[in-house]
Amino acid sequence: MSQDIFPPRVRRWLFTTNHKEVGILYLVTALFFFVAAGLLALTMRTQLSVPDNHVLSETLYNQFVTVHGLLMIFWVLSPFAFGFANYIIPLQIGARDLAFPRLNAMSYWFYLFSGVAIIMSFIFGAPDLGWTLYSPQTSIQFSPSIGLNVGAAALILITVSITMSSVNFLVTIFKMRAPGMKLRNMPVFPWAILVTIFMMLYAFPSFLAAVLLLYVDRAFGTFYFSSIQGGALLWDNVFWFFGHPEVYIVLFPAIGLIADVIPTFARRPLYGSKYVIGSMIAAAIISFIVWGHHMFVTGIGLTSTKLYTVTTIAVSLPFDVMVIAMIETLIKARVKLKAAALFALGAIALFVIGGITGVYLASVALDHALRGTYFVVAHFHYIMVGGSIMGLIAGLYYWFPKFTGRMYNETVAKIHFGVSFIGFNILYFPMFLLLDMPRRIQTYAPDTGWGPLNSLATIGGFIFGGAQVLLFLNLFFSQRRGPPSGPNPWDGWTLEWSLPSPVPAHDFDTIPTIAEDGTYRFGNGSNYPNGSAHIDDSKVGNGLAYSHLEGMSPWPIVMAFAAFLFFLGLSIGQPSSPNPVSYKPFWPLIADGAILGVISLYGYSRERFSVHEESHVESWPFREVPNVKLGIWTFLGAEVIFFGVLIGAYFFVRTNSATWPAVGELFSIRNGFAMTLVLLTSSLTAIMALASAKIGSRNGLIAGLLGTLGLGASFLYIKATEWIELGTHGVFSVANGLPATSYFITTGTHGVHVVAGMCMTVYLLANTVRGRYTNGDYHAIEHFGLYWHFVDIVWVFLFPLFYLI
Amino acid sequence: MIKLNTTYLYLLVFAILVGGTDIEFNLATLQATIPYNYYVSILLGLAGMKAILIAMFYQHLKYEPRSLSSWVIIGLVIASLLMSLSFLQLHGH
Repeated sequence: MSQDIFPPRVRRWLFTTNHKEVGILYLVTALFFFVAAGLLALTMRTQLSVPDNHVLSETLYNQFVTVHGLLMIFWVLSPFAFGFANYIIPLQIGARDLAFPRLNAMSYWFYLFSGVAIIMSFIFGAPDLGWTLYSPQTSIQFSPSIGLNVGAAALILITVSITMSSVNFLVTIFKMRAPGMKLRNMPVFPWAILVTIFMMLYAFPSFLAAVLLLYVDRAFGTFYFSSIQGGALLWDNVFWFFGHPEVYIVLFPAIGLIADVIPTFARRPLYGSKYVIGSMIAAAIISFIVWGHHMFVTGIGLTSTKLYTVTTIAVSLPFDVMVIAMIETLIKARVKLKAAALFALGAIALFVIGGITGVYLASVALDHALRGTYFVVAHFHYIMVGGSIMGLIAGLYYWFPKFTGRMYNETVAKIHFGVSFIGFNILYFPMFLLLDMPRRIQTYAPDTGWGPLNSLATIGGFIFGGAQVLLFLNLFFSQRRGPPSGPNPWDGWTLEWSLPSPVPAHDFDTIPTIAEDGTYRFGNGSNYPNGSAHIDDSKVGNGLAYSHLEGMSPWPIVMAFAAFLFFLGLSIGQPSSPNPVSYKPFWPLIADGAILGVISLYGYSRERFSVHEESHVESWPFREVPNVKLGIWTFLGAEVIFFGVLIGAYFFVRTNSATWPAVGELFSIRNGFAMTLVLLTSSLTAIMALASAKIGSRNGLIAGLLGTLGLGASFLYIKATEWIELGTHGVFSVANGLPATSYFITTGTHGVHVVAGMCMTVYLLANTVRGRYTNGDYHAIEHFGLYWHFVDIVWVFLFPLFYLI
Repeated sequence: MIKLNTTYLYLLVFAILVGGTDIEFNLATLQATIPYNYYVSILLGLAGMKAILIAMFYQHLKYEPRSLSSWVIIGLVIASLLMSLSFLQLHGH
């Protein structure tokens, strides 16, 4: 694809794969969505400012509430943090980029287009039932608007983006640290991102499976979440299994960032940094066993209630350790109260209030009283805005000189902090007192007495929102006309401050070496003591061959756009019949997306894009594992969770159903047996293909791949025959309910994986014919095999679950 | 211990996988004679055994560095624990 049709400046931003530019793209886009979601919030506050107000209709108010929540949680908080992570983490660990730069660019473009989709949902009637998307309100009967489908498509796209990012950062942090940068010496921010990634890898596949099931419920009339046998509870479980860890997913990067900022301005190391990291790990693990506290009023049983009360109180303890560590760092310190430090300190103070009020909600009795009220709204905004957004703004001021090479106006920044902090508390503190006012109501009667506190909150909202104008103006003018900052204006200790500002394209002229005592050294230069990291400018920025232009690729944006078109086409179709629901997708868009997707996949695979892997880097514990292989195994881990939730949903609907067809009644055991044998044989041919590649036998490799392809096709043929037969007998209909639909959705999702594997086989075959893979370069065959065998393993479980039990 | 030629090893694993599948298939005909809980446990146990064989030999996990195999096992254990907890919770309904 010719890239020359765009002017160089445009081309640079569209096709870049450089981690710093992708980081800036993330930051700018997240701030754009921050403004959009903030404007929605201000309109809502205007609506609520006085009783009996009608600035917004009920429907529009509900849409604003929902999209505000979704935007802030998915499109602002995490991407804001990952903008910093993109830019800063390779610098802090001494790497030249992320492990997979094109994948990183693709993550960004998926994120951007998913955001476009969620905003586009307003055209079709945006989701209007709260960010938790509770069932059965999401069913086609109660929410016929296709805007919810578009919202679901947006959530699928951003989940794909997050999964790609997680794999990329995990491999980068584990495998690309500079020599001597042991895990135990790593700064807290990369640690926070590492822990966040672990949570993402467990939480987001669960969410992806949930949204996928929601989507098929709406598109094909299945009953996962609308069945009277506990469908609503199934959604509660899978959603909150993701939803509670998500709170820490958006919080931890800010805490890690604050843990870098406070020591810098307090001029002393973080007190108990290892305990802070240990606490993050503990909180991450416990976060996966607290989701039931969101379901105290759903009748989950006394034992479960007790368990979740204990775990919810337990999860607060690691955060106590983190806060105490920050406070201990500050005791007797001469803190330089720059804007970054002020925002960091403010974030801790607000987070403490948010955290303590969260512990109240662990109490079943209080939860019954406070649940669904503005007390809860205040609590989580103190966490998410007070702790997370304020912390991230601290990062913006802290690293702005590194990004631009210029200083911002400190006075304006301090005013920004003061007005924000006051505005924030005027906005949210009155909500603690509105503990009898239900959330998500569009208006209220004058005799409720809620008017004055709501008016106060609205005034606070405008103060807080207006304060952000100062931020944008300050940063906008400063990046053009601010005084030069020099490489290290804060006397920071982490590695990024040893580089010039802005950082050159290739980051490091020579990869630094970190000594056991924390000092670091570039090439043959002298030691730079950890604590006064002044840079010798002559040693960096000499313009190595590794440049922005060489690292550009058009395919990430094309592929993301193709996925956007494809899912938009799936979303904006119309139900052709409401009862039973049958669906007519918008095929032209789907076809466009599919064709563009195939073209971009071809271009991506054919593009000459090499990633240089540094030797002698610190990569414990995966020193002997290649980057790509670690990435694939990590991705397969996410797939395990994804299929685990699909199978879990099947168990749920099955154990909650009064009747279920006997073995062999609905599905032919012989078909299942035949498909299992075919797929197992395909695993044998795939492993024989690898064995042939290793000994340099091209014919053996071709035979193995052809065998795998043919057996994959045979599997799909038997499957298609079975589906058609079942369809002919009317099995795939509402009348057959959950037994049929759970089968079709689970095995259909597996079938899509088989098709993807076959596409890979075709690609590998084409390259084999051209002479690749038999000269010691067999790794692509090995990586394909990992995926194919995984697909086989999934079927090994699906066979007994659907055909034999 | 006998060291098998790689090809023979792959074929042996394949034979065990097919044999396991055959046992599963034939068990279905005996379903009425086996208590249902035992029946389900045996089938899931067989499936688990087949999955482990595929992972160890076809995905080469047995021959990978300990760090990678531990990585996968720890991930699976955590995932299994979480899912078990989910099932317990769901069973409570």
